[in-house]
Formats: sequence, structure tokens, C-alpha cells
Amino acid sequence: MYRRVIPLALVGALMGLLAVTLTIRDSDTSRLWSTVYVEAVEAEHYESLASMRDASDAVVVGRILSTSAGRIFGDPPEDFVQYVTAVVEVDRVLSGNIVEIAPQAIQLEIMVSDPAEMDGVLALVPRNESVFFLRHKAKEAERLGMPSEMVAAETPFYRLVMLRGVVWNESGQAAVYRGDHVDFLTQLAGQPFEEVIRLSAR
Amino acid sequence: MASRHVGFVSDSEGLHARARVVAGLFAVMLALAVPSSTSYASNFGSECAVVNGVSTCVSLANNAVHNYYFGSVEVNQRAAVNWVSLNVYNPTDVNTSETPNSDTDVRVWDNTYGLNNIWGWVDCPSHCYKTGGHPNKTGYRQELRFNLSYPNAFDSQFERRYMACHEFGHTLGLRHNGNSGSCMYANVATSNVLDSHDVSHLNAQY
Repeated sequence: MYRRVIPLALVGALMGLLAVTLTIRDSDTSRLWSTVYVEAVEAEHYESLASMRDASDAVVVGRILSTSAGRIFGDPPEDFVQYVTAVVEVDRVLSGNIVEIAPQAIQLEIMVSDPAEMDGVLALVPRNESVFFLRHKAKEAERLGMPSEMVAAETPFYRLVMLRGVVWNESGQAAVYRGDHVDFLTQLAGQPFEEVIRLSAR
Repeated sequence: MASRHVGFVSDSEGLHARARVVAGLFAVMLALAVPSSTSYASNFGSECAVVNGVSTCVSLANNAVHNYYFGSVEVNQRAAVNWVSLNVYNPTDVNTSETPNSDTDVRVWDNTYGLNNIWGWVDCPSHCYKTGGHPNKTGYRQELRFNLSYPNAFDSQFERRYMACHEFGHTLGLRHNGNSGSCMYANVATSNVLDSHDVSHLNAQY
């Protein structure tokens, strides 16, 4: 009898392990935001969800539909960065007005510090429903006093208000990029995603 | 049946022993499946995600001699980097100086990298030589960048030195801390020197 029990137990253990491994594997959304994260001095930073929400040009709920290699800044081949252009399908606008590139779609630019990473980033499929806290780049360019043609060039693009300015839905629970930061975003992790949406609406 | 009674192990004991082996095996496999995390009790040590073999973020230096090369860097920002090298890092056990050789520990650049909310950052990209694993990963040929798309971030000498001190600290394995008396304080230029906590990390490591 034990000859049957032990192999069955092993099979059960392996199936359990497989289930656990599948559960704990990072989603592509999580991998995207951790890949593009850099330890940086950021122009904008916030201490609470309310302050980040209130400072954003727009807060939307949606998901990334597609990504493509986008604009290059700097002086290639040595000194440059490249952006991923992500088309975000907007399900709900929680605050602000959005500049659409197509009905219910906006363009979010995400910097890839090492352009050699681009293929790896584009291979990810970051489709989780997310709350995006957005800065409209044209407004920012205007505020920085950039020439009008540069302001116009920025019009189709958004960025996150800060590198970690996105919260996504992992099986009904909020997920954030954690890093070594313990702050209001870290504390949102694991809360019901719908509650985060409610808190993100002005 | 005899083959099941090996040695002095009874049926019951054999079942328990086998169950323990299975449970132990399962526990080991489970432990291997759960990703380990670095300790966040300290603000020192390499950190960040590795995706498709590429790692960004903070690395340790490979040794105490930590030289830097200026790519294209404006004169004021060069002065700020040289100042922190001389006055902030050289007094520690780290030995830093400028080198004309681009194949060195840190390559410094400034440029208009676009509106990305970032004033300055450090990266250990694909051409950066890495050894070891987190939190002891080291990097050689790290890239340090200042983003001139935000010119107001570099208006004053104090801000330029803060930025240089902060980013140079990242190239040595220092991460953000919560002390406004340290240049490793995140995002706000409150200090352009290290605090004693940062210095003790550097002196212990290098």
C-alpha cells in the first residue's frame, strides 16, 4: 500500500509546488515596473495617495494594450535613453481631462535607462488593470518654459507622476513596486483594488 | 514484502520516515520556489530586479579604488562631482579620482534625457561588468546620469553637489535613507554630504 501512497504523496507535493510557483511568479506588469525602475532623484515625489492624486494632471483606470520602442533622447550610441510608448486603454477617468490618441486611449512614455533592455521590456505583456497617476508632458514642458515647438511635441504623451505612480490589480488586490521603500504605496499593497480606485478618485 | 523491511525500520517507522523525507523534500522545494528578498533594515547593498538577465539600480563597487570618467558633462556639474569626490568620499575608506579612461568604475554623463521626472540616476546596464548576487552584487562601468531636461534642478551649487553626492553614493552601494542630514535622503536637496551611518557602511565594506 505504501508503495502507492508515497508516489502519490510525491505527485501531490509536486502539484502543490507547481501551484505555489505559479501563484508567486511575478506578473508581467510587476516585472515591467521593477525593470524600468531606477534609484533616482525625482522631480516630483509624494508622501500620500491623496497628495499624489491631487497633483496629477489625470488619474485613470485602464490597462496597457500595447508597447513599442519609442523616442530616443541624448546622443547615441553611448549617451542616450529610449522610451517605451505604451498605449493605455482607459476604462475610467477618475480625475482630470485626458488627451486621447484614439477613443479611450492615451500614450504613456516609460523610460528604459539601458536601451539594451528594450527587447526584454517589449516581451512583457503588462495587461493588469491599473490605476495610473499621470503627468501630461506638454503641460510640464510649458511649465518648464520650453519653446512652443517642444511643448507641441510633448502633447501626445503622458508619464507617471513618479516612477512608482501606478497601482495594479493582482487577483483583486492592489500591487505596487516595493523596492526598499516603506511608504504609503507599500501600505496599499494587498488592499482590495476597488478600494484603491475609490481612494484615487477626487 | 521483505524488500520493504530494510534494516531495523518497522512498517510504521518506515512510513513515518518516508513521510518525513517527503515533507522535507517538499519544504526544500517550497523554500527554493519562494523568492528571497534582500534585507531592508539597512540602506546599504545592491538591490533591484533582474529581468532577462539584466539588472538595474544599485550595485556595490568592486573595490575601494573608485574612479570616474566624464563623458559629456557641463563644467558646473563636473565641478560638483569633483567636489564630492574630494570632500565627501575621499575622507572615507573609498579612494576616488577622475580618470581619462572610459573603461573605469563610473562613467558620468549629462544630457537632455526627456521629461521622465528624474533629475539624476545610476544604472548598471548590460555593458556594466557584474559579479556576485544581491545584496552583494558589484558593478564596474556603472553609468551616472544627470538630466538637463530639468535645468532648474541644477541651478545652485548646493543642488549640484547634492545630486553628485547622492548619485555617487548609489555607485558604491548606498541606497536612500530617511535622514535629511544625508545626501542619500531621497528627492530633496537637504544635504550635500554623507551622514555617519553612510560613512560607516562605506568604511566597513571598503
